[in-house]
Amino acid sequence: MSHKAVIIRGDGTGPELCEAVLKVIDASGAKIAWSDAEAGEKPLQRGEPVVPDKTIEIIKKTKIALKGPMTTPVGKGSVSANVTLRKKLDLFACVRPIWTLPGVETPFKDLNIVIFRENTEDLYAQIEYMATADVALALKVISKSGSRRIIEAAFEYARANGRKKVAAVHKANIMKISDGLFLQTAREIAEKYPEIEFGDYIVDNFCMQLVTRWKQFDVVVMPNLYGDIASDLAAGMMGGLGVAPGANFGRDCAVFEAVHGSAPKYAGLNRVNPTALLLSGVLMLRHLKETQAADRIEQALYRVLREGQARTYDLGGTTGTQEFAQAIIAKMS
Amino acid sequence: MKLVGADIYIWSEKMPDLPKEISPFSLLLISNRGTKIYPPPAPDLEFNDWWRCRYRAQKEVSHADIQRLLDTVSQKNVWTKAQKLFEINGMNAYSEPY
Repeated sequence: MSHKAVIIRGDGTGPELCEAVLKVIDASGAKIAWSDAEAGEKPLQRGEPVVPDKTIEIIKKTKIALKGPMTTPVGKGSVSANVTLRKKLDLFACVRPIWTLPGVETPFKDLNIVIFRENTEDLYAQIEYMATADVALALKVISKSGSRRIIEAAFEYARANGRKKVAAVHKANIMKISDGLFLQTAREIAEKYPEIEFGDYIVDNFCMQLVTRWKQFDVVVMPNLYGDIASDLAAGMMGGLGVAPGANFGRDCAVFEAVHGSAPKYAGLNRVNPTALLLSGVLMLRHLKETQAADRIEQALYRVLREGQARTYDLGGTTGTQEFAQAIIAKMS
Repeated sequence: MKLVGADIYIWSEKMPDLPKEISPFSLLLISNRGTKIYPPPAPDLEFNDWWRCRYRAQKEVSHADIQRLLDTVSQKNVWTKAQKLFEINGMNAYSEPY
């Protein structure tokens, strides 16, 4: 079956990563009719919004997008293109699976965790003020409705995928009202899933336990800021941002993306590892029920990683982005 | 710091229907969870019941002007929080919505 999907090639190393990944997806046998759309630096340089309205519209129409990394200005300038996409499309669930990849050296064996990060509220509502000449404020927005939909998504995922446990991560010992609302909502929803073991962890304790007793975690769900930080921590445990995929889901649309930045200093150098974006593409194929193509890519990637003859610089090798993709394609044929 | 307006946070199940002008202020935007809903086009989102409504003046206003603004808005709406908006050295000292 043929599918329609949007490709946003992104900034920095994004275009070369997308080129590599689209070749692998094409070789997998999946039939995808790609439509290009822009976001990030290019529209900004033309004086357009960081995510043009036409990009939002085409994703709403096709409902699926694969996105290369984009550059986010720090401190001042335009808002984040990534956050804008999530907010304009109401992609409230950021899903970051973390598992042990064959051939990728890491001290953390037998990882198998799925992180659900709320994507639209918390400090990422980006509501900030100078209240006086001395004091800056950022509003942390946590709603019951926003908490409910991400927590329900985590429980539904656990139920559908035979997962045994869901843990809510919070800081309700200090932020008793805002994080307290998130935790209370999680406890209420947990009662509707009696077959799934529910627990909760204060975020600092969660981080400590994640790197010391990671096997106890199964599905974890958390507000936006903790999810942002903890999912990168978990990506490091998996082998680094170069290998960690991500997906963002709303009611109607899904955007799949590597979780790393655009690495502009490597742009055009054919050096960056395409694994994270490729595995994001695999998540997309599974979402489209293209299971055979997804399995084919994943198994070929695992063989390349296990054999170790083609390795990008982040994994200790010298293989270029495009050559790494070709090595995967060669294993599929 | 130059006082130029206020963000008024209104508790409502639906987007509040507010006057576009309350002299010397204009209704600049309404957002929900930090995402712009007004002026159109509004994205198709699930909303919570807390709406940020930004009234901004073209020139410096007084604190009494803000109080009058709140009095007018509260005639038909329930506001739960208000935040004065300042400029510092000609730059907006507040964030914009997505």
